[in-house]
Amino acid sequence: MIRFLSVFGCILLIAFSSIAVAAKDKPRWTLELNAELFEPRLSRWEETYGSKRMPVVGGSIAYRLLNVLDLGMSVNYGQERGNGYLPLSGLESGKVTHHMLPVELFGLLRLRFTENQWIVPYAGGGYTRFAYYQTIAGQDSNRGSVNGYHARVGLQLLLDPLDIAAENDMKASYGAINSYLFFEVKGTDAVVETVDGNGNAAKHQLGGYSYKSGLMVEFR
Amino acid sequence: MKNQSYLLFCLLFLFNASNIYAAETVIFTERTEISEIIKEISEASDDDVFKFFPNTYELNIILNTDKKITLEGVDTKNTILSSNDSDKPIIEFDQSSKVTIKGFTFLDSNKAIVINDNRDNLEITNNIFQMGKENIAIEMGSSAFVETSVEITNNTFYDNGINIDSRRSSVLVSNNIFQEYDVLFDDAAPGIIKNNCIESDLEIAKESDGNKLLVGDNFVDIEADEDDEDKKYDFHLIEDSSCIDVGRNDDEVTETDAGAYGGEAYDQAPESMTDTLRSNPSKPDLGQNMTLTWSQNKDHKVVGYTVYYSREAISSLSPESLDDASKRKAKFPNAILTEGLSANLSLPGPNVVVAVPVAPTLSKDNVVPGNNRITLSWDAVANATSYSVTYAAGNENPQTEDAKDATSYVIDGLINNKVYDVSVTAHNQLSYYFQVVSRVEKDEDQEEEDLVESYFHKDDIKLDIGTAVSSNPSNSISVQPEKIVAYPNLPNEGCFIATAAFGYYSSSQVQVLRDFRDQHLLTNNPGQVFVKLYYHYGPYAASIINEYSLLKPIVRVLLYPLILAVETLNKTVLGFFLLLGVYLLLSLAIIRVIIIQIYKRVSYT
Repeated sequence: MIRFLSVFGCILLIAFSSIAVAAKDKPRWTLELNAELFEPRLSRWEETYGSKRMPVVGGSIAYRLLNVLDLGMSVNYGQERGNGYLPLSGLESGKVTHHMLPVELFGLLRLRFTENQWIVPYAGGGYTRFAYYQTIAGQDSNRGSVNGYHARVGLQLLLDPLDIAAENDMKASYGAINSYLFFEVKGTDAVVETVDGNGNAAKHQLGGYSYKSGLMVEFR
Repeated sequence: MKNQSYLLFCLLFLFNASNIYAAETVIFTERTEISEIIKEISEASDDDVFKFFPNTYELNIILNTDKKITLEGVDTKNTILSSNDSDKPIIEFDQSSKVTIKGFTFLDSNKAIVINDNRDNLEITNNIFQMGKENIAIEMGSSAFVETSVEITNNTFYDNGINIDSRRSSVLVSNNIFQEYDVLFDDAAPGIIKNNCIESDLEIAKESDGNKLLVGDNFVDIEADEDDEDKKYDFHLIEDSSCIDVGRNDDEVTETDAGAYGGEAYDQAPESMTDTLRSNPSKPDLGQNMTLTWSQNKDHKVVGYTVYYSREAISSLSPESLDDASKRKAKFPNAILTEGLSANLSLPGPNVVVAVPVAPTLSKDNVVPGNNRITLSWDAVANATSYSVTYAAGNENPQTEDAKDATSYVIDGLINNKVYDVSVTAHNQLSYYFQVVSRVEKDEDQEEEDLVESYFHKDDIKLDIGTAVSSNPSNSISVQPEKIVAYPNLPNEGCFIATAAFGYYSSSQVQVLRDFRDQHLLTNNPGQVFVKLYYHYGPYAASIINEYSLLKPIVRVLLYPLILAVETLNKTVLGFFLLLGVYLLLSLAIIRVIIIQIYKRVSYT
C-alpha cells in the first residue's frame, strides 16, 4: 500500500510540475479509440480458445462535467474462435466463435490541473452491460446480455508538445484541442447464472482484465 | 602457370557462355500458375520452346522479346487459350522478333492474336481459332517493318466474326480452313492466299492459287453439345473431307491436309477414346473373358488403337512422364496395340488370388461424437482397397455406409444422446484402370520416341473384376452423439417467460414454444413483429417471474393451454384456432374476475 501511494504521489508530483499554461478554449468532449488485450477470467478459456488473451477494439465518447470529472459511454467488441465440447463425454468437438460486446457507462476522475498538463493520471468505473453472442458451426447460436460493473486506472500522455504545428493544424481543421496517448488497466465483473438441462446451476464470469491503449482527442 | 590460368579462364568463359545461351524446353501444365507462365516467357532466351500441356489457360501475353521463341500446345484440341480480360487479346505482339505460335485452340475471346509490330518473321501454325461471331481471330496493324512477314499456315478458323483483319501486304495465308465466319478477311486483303479450304463463293475463294471450296461434312465432330461450356469441337478431318490434301508442304509439291491437323509440324495425337470404353460383362468374374468396346475415331489418319491397363490409376500419372513413346512403353509393357478401325478387343479375365485384408482396429480416441454425427478414423490395413462403416443403435438393424478408400468417415443424421455401436470393415476389390488411345501412322523421318497416339484422357475407366473380399469387422466401439456446446455454455435468451416459468431453457414445454416461434411466427411479417416485441419486453416479465417464485406456477398454468394449442397445431389447424379461442376467452374471464375483485376491495375500503 505504501509503495502504491509512493508511486501515485510521484505521478501527481510530475503532473503538477508540468509546464502549465492556461488554455483559452476549455474542451468539453472527448473521443477515444482504443485497442486492448482482454484476459477473460474463465478457467478453461485458454484451452478452449487457444490463447490467454483476446484482442478487443472499441471507442468511447465522454463529456467533461467538472474539470476533473468526465462522464461517458464506451462500446467495445472482440471475438475469438475455438472448439466446442460435448457436455456428456467432455470431448472437444465442433467450432465455436465467441463474440463479446460490452457497453459501459462510466465516470472518470482525471487528475488534470492545467489544460497543458503532460501526464494525466486517471481512475474511474461504472456500469457494464455485457452482451455476448456464440455461434456453433452447424447449430443454433446463443445470444444474450448480463449486467456487470468495471473499474479502470490509467495514464494519459499529452501529445501536443511533440508537434505544435500538427496540434494547431488539428485544432484549425477538426476543432481538436488536445490529443493524448493513454495506457490503462481495467477490470470487469459480469456473471451469468445458468441452469442446464439436468437442473444443475452454474455461474460463468464473463468479465476479465483488460490491458488497453489508444488515442484520445478533446473537443470544445 | 600462366598458361594454366589462361586455360582455366577459357573454360570458365565457355561454361558461362553455354549457360547463358542454352536453349531450354519449359513445360507448363495445369499445375503452373499463370503468373509463372508470363514470367518465364518474358525471360526467354533464343530458341526456347514453351510447351503447354492440355489445360485451359486464361491469360494475356504481351510479347516484346527480341528472342526467337516457340509457344507450343502439345495437344491442339485440349490445349486451350482464352483471355482473362475481355478487352485484351490473348497474345499481343509488340516489337517482338521471330516467334512461332502452334498447336493451340483459341476460344471465345475478343481477339486471339494482335500483331502491332514485328521485327522478324512470325509464324502462326496448326492452331484452331473458334472465337465466336462477335470477335476477331487475328488482327494486324501496319508495321514499320513492312519487309518482315507473317505466315498464317495450317490453321482452322471456325465460327469467327472476322478471321483475319490485316493492313499489310507481307502476309502468307496458306493451308488454312475457313468456315462459319462473318468476314473472311477485313481491310486490305492479306498478301498471298493459297491452298486454303474456304466455305465461300467469294472471289477470293475461287479455285485459283489452289484454294478450294469447302463442302459437305469435313470434321470429326462438329455437332458437339451447344450447352457444353467449352464449345470446342474436334477438327480432325474425316475420311471424305474436302480439305484432305488441299495444302502444300514447304517444298510446294508434297500434298498435305489443310487445317490445324495438316502440314509438317501438326500435333499427331488424335483424340483419346477412353471415355467411350465399355466392358461386356460390365463386371466380369475372376477368370471370365471380357470384351471391351469403344467408339470409333473418325479421324482419317487413325490406323488403330492402343489399350493401356494397370492396377494403379493411370490418369494420376503426370502428363510429362508419358509424353513420348519410349516412356509409355517402359511404364506399360503390356499395352495392347490393335490394328485397323475395329473398336473392340477381347481380353482374358485375370485369374489371381485376391488377398483377404486384415481387420482394421478402432480406438476410442479415434471415434469422436458430435452433433447428430460420429467421426471415425482408423489406420490403413494391408490389402485393403476400400472400407465400409457399420453402425447400429441397440437392437436396430445395422446400417452400412461405403467409406471408399478413405481412412476416415463421418456418419451423419444420427439421433443425439442415443448410443451407437460402430465398426469398420476392410475390402479388397480387384480392379483395373483402362485408357484407350487412338494411333496414327509414324512418318519415315520420325524418331523412335515420337508419340503418334493420343494423350491420355483425364479420367480412367475403372473395371472391377470379381467380388470384393472382406475382412472381419473391426472391434466395435459404443459412442453417443450429442449437441455441441460452446464454452462457457451461456443461455440463449429465447423464450424468456417460459424459461423462467418452467425452470430451464431445455425443458420440453419451452422447446414446443421455441419450435412454434421458428415454424409459425418467424415465417411471416406479423409473427416477426410479435417476436420482436416479445424479445424487447419479455426479459422484464421474466425477471419479475424469477424474482417472485410464487408467480411461476401461475404463469405455468396460463402457458399450458397455449402449449397444448401449439402441439395441436401440428395435427390440425382448426383444432389450434379452437383451442386458442377457448384459451383467450378463459384468460379474459379470469382477468375480468380479478379486476372485479380488486375493484370491490377498493370500493369497500
